[in-house]
Amino acid sequence: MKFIFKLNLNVLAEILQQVMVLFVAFFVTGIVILVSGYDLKEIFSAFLNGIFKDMYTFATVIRWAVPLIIGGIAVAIAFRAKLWNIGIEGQFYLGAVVTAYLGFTFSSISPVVHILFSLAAAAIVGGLWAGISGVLRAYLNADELITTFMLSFVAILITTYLVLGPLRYPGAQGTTVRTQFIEDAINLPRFVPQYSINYGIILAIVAALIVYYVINYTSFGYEVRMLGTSPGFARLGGINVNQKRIIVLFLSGAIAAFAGGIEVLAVRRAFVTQFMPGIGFDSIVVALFANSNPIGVIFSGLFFSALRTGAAAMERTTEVPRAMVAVFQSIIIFAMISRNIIKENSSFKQLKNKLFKKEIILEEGDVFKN
Amino acid sequence: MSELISIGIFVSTLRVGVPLCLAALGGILTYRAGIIDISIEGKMLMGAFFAIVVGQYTGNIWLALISAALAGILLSLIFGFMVISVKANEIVSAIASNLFAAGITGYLLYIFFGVTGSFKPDKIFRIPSLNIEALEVLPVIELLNNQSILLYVSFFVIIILWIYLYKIPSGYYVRALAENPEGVRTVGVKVKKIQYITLIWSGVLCGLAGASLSTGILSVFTEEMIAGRGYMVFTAIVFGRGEPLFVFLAALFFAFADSFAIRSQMMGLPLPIQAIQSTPYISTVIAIALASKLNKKSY
Repeated sequence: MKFIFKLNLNVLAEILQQVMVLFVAFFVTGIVILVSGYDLKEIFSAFLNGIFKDMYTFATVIRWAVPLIIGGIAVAIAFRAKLWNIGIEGQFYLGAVVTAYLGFTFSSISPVVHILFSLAAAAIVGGLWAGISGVLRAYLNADELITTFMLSFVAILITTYLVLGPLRYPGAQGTTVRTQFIEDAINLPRFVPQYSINYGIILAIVAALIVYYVINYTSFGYEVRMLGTSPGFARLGGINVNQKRIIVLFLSGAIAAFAGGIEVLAVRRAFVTQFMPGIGFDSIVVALFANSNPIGVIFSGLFFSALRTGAAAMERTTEVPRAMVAVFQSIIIFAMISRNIIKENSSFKQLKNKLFKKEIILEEGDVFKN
Repeated sequence: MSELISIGIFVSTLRVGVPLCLAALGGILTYRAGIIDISIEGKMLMGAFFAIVVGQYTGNIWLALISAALAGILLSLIFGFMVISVKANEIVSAIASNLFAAGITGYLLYIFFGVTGSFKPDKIFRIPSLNIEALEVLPVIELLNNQSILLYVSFFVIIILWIYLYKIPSGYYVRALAENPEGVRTVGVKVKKIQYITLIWSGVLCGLAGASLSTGILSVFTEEMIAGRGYMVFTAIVFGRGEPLFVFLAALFFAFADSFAIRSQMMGLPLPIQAIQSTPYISTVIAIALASKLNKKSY
C-alpha cells in the first residue's frame, strides 16, 4: 500500500464531532419517543437487540451495509466536485437489472469473467445515465440536482417496464414479478451459509479504498477536489471543468449501478422492481455523515445499516414505526449542518484555544478533509 | 387520438394543476429572495398529512386546510432557521427537511391512526368546487368552471403576487434580494425578516397544495404521495424565472404532462404505461435544460 491513512488530530476532532451529533440525535429522538408514550428503555433495548444480539443480527447489519457503503461512495465522489447526484436509486436499479439480465442470459462462461463482465456493463449503463445529467450540467448549466432526481424516476420506470415486460420470467412462483434467476455459478457467495454476510462487503471496502486513493493521491482526484473547492480556480489552472463534471457524474452513476449489481449477485439473484426503496436518500445521508470521505463512508454505511436493522427489529417487537429512522437521520443532518454556527461562536473558540496549545483551525465544510 | 387532445384533457390539466400551481406560486417569493428552496416536497407532504389528520378528527375541510397551511409553515420555519439563521447549506437543509417531513408523517400516521403506508379517513371532507355561472357563457372560458375553489384562489394569487412584486415597496426589495443582497441591506431593510416572511408564504401555499392532493379528489393520505412533484414545482419556478404568470403556466404545463400520462393510460395507447408515466419527469428535465440555457447564469 502506497498510502498512509492520515490519522491526525483533525480527523479525531471530526470523528468526535460526529459522535456528538449522534448524541444529539439520539437525545432528540428519545424525547419524541417518550412524548409519544412509549417506554424508552423497552424501545431502546429492542433496537439494540436488533443489532447486537447474536451473530445473525450482526451479519444482517453487514449485509445491509454493502449497498449503503457503495451508494454512499457514489454520492461522495460527486459531492467532492460539488455535484449533487441524487439519482442514486435509479442508477442502482439500472445496474441491478443489467446485471440480472447478463446473469441469466449467459452461461458456461468462466464465472469470474461472467461476474466482472456483468458488473462492468452495469457500471457503464449507470454511468451513462448519470452522464446525461453531467452533459446537461456541463453544457447547459442545468442543475444536476434536478436532472439526476428526475432521471431517477425515469430509470425506475424503465426497469419496471423491463421486469413486467420483456425480462419477465413466467415461471416465477408466487406473486412476485421478477426476472429469471442468474446462473448459480455466479452468485457472490456468503462466507458461511447460515449468516447473510457475503463477499460484497469485501468489494465495498475495496471500492472505498480505491476511491479514497484516487481522490487523495492522484492528479485526477486533485482536479476533482479543486472543482469542488473552487471551479474558477480550477479553470485558471487549466482543468477542463466541463469534461471533469461529466466524468465525475459518470463515475458516480457507475458506482451506484455497481452497488445495484452487487446486490443482485450477492443476495437477490434476480431483479424485482424497486427492490430496495429508499437506497437513494439513505446513500446521501451516509455520504453526508461521512463528510464525503470514502473511508468514513465505510463506517457511516455500517452505522446506518445498524440503524436500519435495529429499527426494523424495534418495529417488529414494539411497533414503533420505522419512519422514526427518517426522523433520526434528519436530526443528524440538522445537527451536522449546525456545527458551523457553533464553531463561529467565540466562546467555543476560546475553549478550543485553551484545550490545545496551538490553534487548530477546524476548517468549515468538508472538501478540505482528506 | 382526437379523444386524447380534447376538452377533457384541458379540464383535467386544471384539476391536476391545482397542487402544482399553488406550490409554485408559493415558492416564487422565496426564489426571488435568493433562497434555493427544494423543501417544497416536504412542505406539501406535511400539508397533505395534517389536512387528513385534522379532517379526520373534525370533519371540517376548512380546519383541515388551515392546519395544512400551519404544517407547511412549520417545515418552512425549520428550513428557514437552518438556512437563514444557522447559515447552513440550502440543499442539505432541504434534504434534511424533506427527510424529517417524511419521517414525522410516517411516524404520526402510526401514532394517530395505527396504520402504515396509507390511510383513508372515514369522514368525508373534500375541497369544494365552485360553480361560477358567469363563466358558462363563453365556449372556452366555460372550461374554467366547476373547478376546485383553490384553482380560483390561485388565479387570485397570481394577481396578488404581481401587485406585491411590482407595486409594493417591500416587493421591490424581494426582487432585489436575489441579485444584490448587500444593496438591500445597505438600504436598511432587514433581509432576514423578509426571507422568513417569504418562507412563511411558501409554507402556507405549499401546505395548501399538499392538502389539495390529499383532500382534493379522493380523501386519502399515502406515504410518499408527493412523488417528486415538489421538485417539479421548483423547476417550474426556475423555468418561469420567478415571474408569477410564467411560473403558473410552467406548473400548468407539468400538470398537462401528468394529465396526458393518465389519459393515455386510459386510452390504451400501444406505448407501455411506463413510457407515458415518465413524461412529466422528462418534461422537467427538458424544462430545466431550457431554463438554464435561457437564464445563462448558475444560481
